[in-house]
Amino acid sequence: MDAFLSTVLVLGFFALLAFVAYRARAAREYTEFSLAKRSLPLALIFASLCATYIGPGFSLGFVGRGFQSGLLFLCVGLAYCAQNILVGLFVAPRLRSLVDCHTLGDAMRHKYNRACQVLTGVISVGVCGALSAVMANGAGSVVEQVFGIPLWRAAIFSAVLAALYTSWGGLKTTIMTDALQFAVFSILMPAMLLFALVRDGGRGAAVFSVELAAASSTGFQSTSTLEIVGLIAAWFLGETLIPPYANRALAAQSSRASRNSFVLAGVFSFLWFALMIALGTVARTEVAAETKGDHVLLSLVQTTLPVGGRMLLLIALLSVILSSLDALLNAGAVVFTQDVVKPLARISDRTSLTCGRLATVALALVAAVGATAVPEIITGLRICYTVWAPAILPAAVFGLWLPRPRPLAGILSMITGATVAVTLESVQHAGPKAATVPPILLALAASLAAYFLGHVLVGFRGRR
Amino acid sequence: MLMAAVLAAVLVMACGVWVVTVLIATIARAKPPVESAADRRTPETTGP
Repeated sequence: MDAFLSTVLVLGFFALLAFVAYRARAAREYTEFSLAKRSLPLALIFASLCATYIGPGFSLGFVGRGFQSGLLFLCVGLAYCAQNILVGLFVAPRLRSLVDCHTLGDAMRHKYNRACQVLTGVISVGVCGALSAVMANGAGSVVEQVFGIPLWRAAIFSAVLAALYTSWGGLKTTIMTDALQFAVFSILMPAMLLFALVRDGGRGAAVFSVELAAASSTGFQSTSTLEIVGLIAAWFLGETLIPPYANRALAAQSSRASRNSFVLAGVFSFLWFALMIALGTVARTEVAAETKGDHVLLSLVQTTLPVGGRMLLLIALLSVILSSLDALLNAGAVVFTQDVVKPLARISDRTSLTCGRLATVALALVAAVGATAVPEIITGLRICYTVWAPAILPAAVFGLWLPRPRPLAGILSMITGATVAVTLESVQHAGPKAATVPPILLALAASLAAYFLGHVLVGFRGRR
Repeated sequence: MLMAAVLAAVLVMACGVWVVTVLIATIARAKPPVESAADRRTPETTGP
C-alpha cells in the first residue's frame, strides 16, 4: 500500500510537470527560447527567481547550518536578501530598459565591445556549468538517500529530466515549471515545520527557543569574525546577476515588473531562510548530533513523517533542485549561443534555436559528470560565488552606471578577477586551512583595481 | 522566536498559494479559445 501511494504521488508530480511544460508550448523562435518574448508577468518572474535561488544550498544546506549554528546563517542570509533588493532597485530596471538584449553579455556589448561580450559569455558558461554540477549533486544526494541509487546514476537521471523539458520549451517552459515547483515546495516545506512543531504534543515547540539559543551560541563562538565577513561578502555578491537572474530581469513584461520581482524575491528570501533555520532547530531534538549537514533535512523527514508525507517532501525537494537546475541549463545554453557562438559566426534564427537546444543537453551532461566531484553543497556554491563576483560584477555594475565605460577597463577587470579568484581558491583548497582574508574579497579588490587602471589608462591616452 | 518561525512559515505558504493561482490563470488564458456557434456563422452583410 505504501509503495503504491509513493508511486502514485511521484508519478502524479511528474505528470503535472509534463502538463505545465506542454501548456507552455515548445519554443518556435530563438527569442521565445531565450526571453519568452518578454511577456512574463510579475508573479511568474518572482516565483521563478525564488525557485532558481532556492536550490539544494538554500534548502538542504541551510537546514544543516541551522542545525549546527542556529541564527548565524540567518545573518548571512540577510546579506543575500539585501543584494536582491538592491539589484531590484538599481540594476534590474536598467538592464531591462536596454533594447535587443538577451543576456548580460549583450549588455556588455552595448556598454563596452564585442570582446567583453565573448569574455562574459565564456565566464558565464563556466559558472553555469559548475553551478549545474552542484545542483545535480544535490538532486543525486536526495534520490540516493531515499531510493538507495548510486549518486552518479541519480545525478544523470536528474540532469536528463531537467534537460528534456528545458531544451524543448526554452525560458517560458522553464519559468512556468519553476512556478509550479515553487508552489509545491513553498506549501509543503512550511507544512512540514508546522507538523514537526505540533507532533508528540508539541515537544518540538516546547524546546524550540532553548535549542535555537544553544545552536546560535555554538555557531557564533566557533566562527571567526573574518570568516563571517567572508561568508557575508560571498552571499552578498556571489549570485548577483548570475545568468539565470539576468535572463529573468530581461524577460519581464516591463522595467517595473523586473524591479518589483527582484525586491519581492529579496523579501521572500529572508522568510525562506528563517523557515530553513527553524527546521534545522527542530531537527536538533529528532536527529543524531553527528549527522552530516546536508543530510539533516532528509533524516528529519525520515524520522518524523509517515510514508505519504515522506514522498510529498521528496517531491518538494526534487522541485527545489530541478527548478534551479533547469534555470541554470537554460541560462547557460542561451549565453553560449548568444555570447559565444553568435559574435563569432553569423547564424539564422533556426540555427540559433538548434544551437540553444544542443547546448542545453551538453550542459546537462557536464552537470551529471561534474556532480560526483562536488564537495559539500555550500562549499561548492561558495567556490562558484568566489569566481563569479570578481570576474563580472565590477565590469557589469560600472558598465550600467558610468556614462562612457571603457572597454579596456572591462576586459582587464574580468581577466584579473577570474584569474586571481581561481588561483586563490586552488591555493586554499590545496594548502592547510588558516584564517586568512576570504579569497572573494582579495579577488574583488584586484578586479576593482584593474578596472580603475584600465579606465585611467584609456582616459590618459585620450587626453594625449 | 517560535512565533516568528510560525509567521515566516505562514507567509511562505501564502506566497505559494498566490503563485499557484496566477499559474492556473496563465495556463487557462493560454488555452486556445473554443469557437462558438455564433462565431462559426457567416457574418451578415448590410448595405449594397
